[in-house]
Amino acid sequence: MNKFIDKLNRIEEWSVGIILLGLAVLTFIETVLRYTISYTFPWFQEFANYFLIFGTYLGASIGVKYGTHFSMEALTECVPDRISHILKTIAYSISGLAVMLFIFYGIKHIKAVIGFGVKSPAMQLPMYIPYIAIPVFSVTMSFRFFVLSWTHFKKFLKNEPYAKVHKKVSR
Amino acid sequence: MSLSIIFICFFALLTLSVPVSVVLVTTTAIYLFFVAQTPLTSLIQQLFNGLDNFVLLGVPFFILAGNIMAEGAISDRLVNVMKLFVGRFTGGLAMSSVLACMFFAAISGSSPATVIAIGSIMIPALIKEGYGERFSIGLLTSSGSLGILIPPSIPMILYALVMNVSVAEIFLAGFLPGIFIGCCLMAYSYVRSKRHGWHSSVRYTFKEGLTIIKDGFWALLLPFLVLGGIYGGIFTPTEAAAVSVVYALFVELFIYKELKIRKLFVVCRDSAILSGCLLFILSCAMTFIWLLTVEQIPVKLAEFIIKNVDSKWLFLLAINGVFLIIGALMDIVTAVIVISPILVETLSRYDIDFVHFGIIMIVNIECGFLTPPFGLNLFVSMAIVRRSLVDIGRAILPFLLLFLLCLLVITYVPQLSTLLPKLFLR
Repeated sequence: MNKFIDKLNRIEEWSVGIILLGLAVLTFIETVLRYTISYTFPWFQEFANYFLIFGTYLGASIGVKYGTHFSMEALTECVPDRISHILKTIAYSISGLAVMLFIFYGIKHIKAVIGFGVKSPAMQLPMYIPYIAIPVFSVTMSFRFFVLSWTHFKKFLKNEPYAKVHKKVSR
Repeated sequence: MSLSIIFICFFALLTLSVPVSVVLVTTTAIYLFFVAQTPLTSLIQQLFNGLDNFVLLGVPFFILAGNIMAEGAISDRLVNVMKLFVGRFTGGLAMSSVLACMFFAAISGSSPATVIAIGSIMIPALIKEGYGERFSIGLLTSSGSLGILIPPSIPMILYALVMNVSVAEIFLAGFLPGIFIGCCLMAYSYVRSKRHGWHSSVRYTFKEGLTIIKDGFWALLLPFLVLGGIYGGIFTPTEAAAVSVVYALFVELFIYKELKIRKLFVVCRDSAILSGCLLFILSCAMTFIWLLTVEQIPVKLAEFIIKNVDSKWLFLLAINGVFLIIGALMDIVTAVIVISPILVETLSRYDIDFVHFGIIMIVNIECGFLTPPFGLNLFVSMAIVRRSLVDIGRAILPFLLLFLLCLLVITYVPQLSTLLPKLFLR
């Protein structure tokens, strides 16, 4: 099971990097083509925007694990360690719950969009497809928030010193 | 009533150390659900629309380009060229660090990337050359923040988006203030070096000089390509960002050949995660801004401020003070993204140019990056020199004061920011 999750994590991290690099290269090619032979892909901006949204939610979800989401740490830094753990437990639970709203209402919104049968202006893509990224990655994001919350709660029980519990960021 | 709900929620969640993005979106959700009683599906719509903008693609691209160059050899070559130019004078190594930061700022849009790129080479070099340790750390940590003032700049793209100004215009506006702060830093380095007798031993023969220039050619070309492309009307800022990614890749992989493919993957992944979080905050902030606008907060705030603050100069001073405090408490970029749109009405009543205000905000962000205990640049330097936050904080103080002085000048001399856009773009 752990191996499977590891693999999933790696696929996730690979794809988010490749999406970014790929978009950059595609935008470059588009620019060159437009400037040299005045050829433009009419669908390009829309395509790039939807991938940007996809990549943003994917990246934000992975970011929870690496602790790249900014928060104001003024209070947690100056209260005793045990209280910091409790504060963090509550804060991450709230975050997890809040992101669950995205799942619930995201699905609701997608259903409504399917009902309207709207298509995107340039690519003629059914409009619900780009929206899918929001609920899907909210699932992993909220799961990760709950994991962090749980880790802090365990540390609170064991009375361990307060330190951030997410993985080290390389940058 | 409704207002107090917004503010109580917002500050309660913020002090609990809930991530800022979640704070923004939760406050909006609570308000929509309980006060306005609108279905929350409109929230999803807003989250989506906030990101559905081609201009925003510039953000991840500039982050990626900056990180590739910070990892590779471009920064190294730049430093060598700058040493060649000013290295021979008193305090020359310090001054060439500032110049290298300014030049790197003109190819990267991020302040931490600039500190990593130039700082990790120059801090050890300065200390080895006999410059004071505190001085060296402080100098590089602070000059690195020029990365966001000299175009291109990631926070400027975000500001331009929420304030509806043109990216090209605010980029151009950052030039003179950036050069101004750079010159102040160089002058300060000169004075300190003279007093402490930090003389230079950097001498090159003509032939060595030629090799350095030839070696640094590809790095030197990039700013002219990116900025020339934008202002020559060849491509948009977003496309310029993509061009600089591909250019940086090409130079690092095929000309300097020091970047490993494996490392490239890590750089791509980290940049994508970082920009994911930044844009996620932006999309959450857009929902919050939308809520405040629907509630007519900007207008109410404008009336309140105009009634109580006599002049626009006093108002700007107060704003700077407020941001200085916020910068010491939380992530300042988010603060600027959320607060500037609330001030739109006030700004137009005081007749303050949005572009000029944008530059003031960017310099405030720079100061925020340098203010202990949560300044972003401080953490970057901590990782480079492996010192405690207290040491870095002490090292940065004189430079922070210098930045505050520059902030005052930039605030009260609007021409510094608006001259170039007025000359070329309006």
